[in-house]
Amino acid sequence: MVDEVKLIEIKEDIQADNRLVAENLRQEMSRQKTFLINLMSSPGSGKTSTIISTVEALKGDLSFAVIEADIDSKLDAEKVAARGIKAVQLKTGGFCHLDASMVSKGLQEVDFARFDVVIIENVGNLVCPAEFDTGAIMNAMILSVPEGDDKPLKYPLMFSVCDVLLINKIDYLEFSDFDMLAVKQRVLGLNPRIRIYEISAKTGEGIDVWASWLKQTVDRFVRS
Amino acid sequence: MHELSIAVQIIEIVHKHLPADQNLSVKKIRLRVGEFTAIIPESLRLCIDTITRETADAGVELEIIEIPAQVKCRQCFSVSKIEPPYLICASCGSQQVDIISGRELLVENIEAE
Repeated sequence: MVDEVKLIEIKEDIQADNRLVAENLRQEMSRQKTFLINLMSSPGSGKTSTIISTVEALKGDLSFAVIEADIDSKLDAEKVAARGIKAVQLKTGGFCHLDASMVSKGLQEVDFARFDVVIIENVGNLVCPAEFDTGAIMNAMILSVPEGDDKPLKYPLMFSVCDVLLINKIDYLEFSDFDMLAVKQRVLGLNPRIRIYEISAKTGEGIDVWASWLKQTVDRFVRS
Repeated sequence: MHELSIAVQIIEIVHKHLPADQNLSVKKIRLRVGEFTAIIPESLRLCIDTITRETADAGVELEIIEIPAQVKCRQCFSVSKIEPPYLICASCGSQQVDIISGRELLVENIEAE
């Protein structure tokens, strides 16, 4: 006897579960008035130092907590905690990205409702994190000058899912052939809604402009 | 690069749809995968094989229907097939394009017996 093969139609989005968790998380954040930022970039672009200088620029205005994601290291969380900022470390155990349920775990651990802003420092990678909704209210990314001005061409998806682009390490501009105008044109071509800020987390240049925009944005979110 | 977590989700979706009372086992999973998703079919196959090893799903076949990457140009309004990752209109070369297909990641259907 031949077994009968049964065709079962599914047509289900593989990311649907993650998107549902992400959407619930966003609603919870809106209820609790905690502004969740998903910060993405390649390794070494200055995520941790940008977080530290942003938090220090807004000290007294907004309270911050940080969720650090790393394949397996506590270095970033320790660096942030050493500045007196509440931080938890999520070990992604080999995963190249964070998804909404991992973020949800981190938020509980950090007791998120006590803070105005929680920043997720995603895994350093310009490919995979762009594919996963973390439940964040705002997606932000860093591109640093030494990485080169061709990155929007090579990783267009990342640049198209972000609300804000921070171009970091502008103190390197004079030593580099990085074409700022070309980058901005490329990025705005991909994503006309994105906001772009030029910063140097090291010298502090441009941090005040970015931080004051962030403050206004969080204030608007809290009042909404 | 993130095929493992995708593979875990695929197997969960398959089990959600497999009637529990008919003693069926899944033989083939048919997926629709867009060219923009950064999913490597060989790597996804390996992940599915690995997580189903020594389970009732061991040996399940994976069929991947690739969905081409297409964009619509905001300058010349033409729809063109493109080579990811570059987002450039194939007709006029403009970078002002919107993705209209290629981001799909679906379990289309399964064959069970």
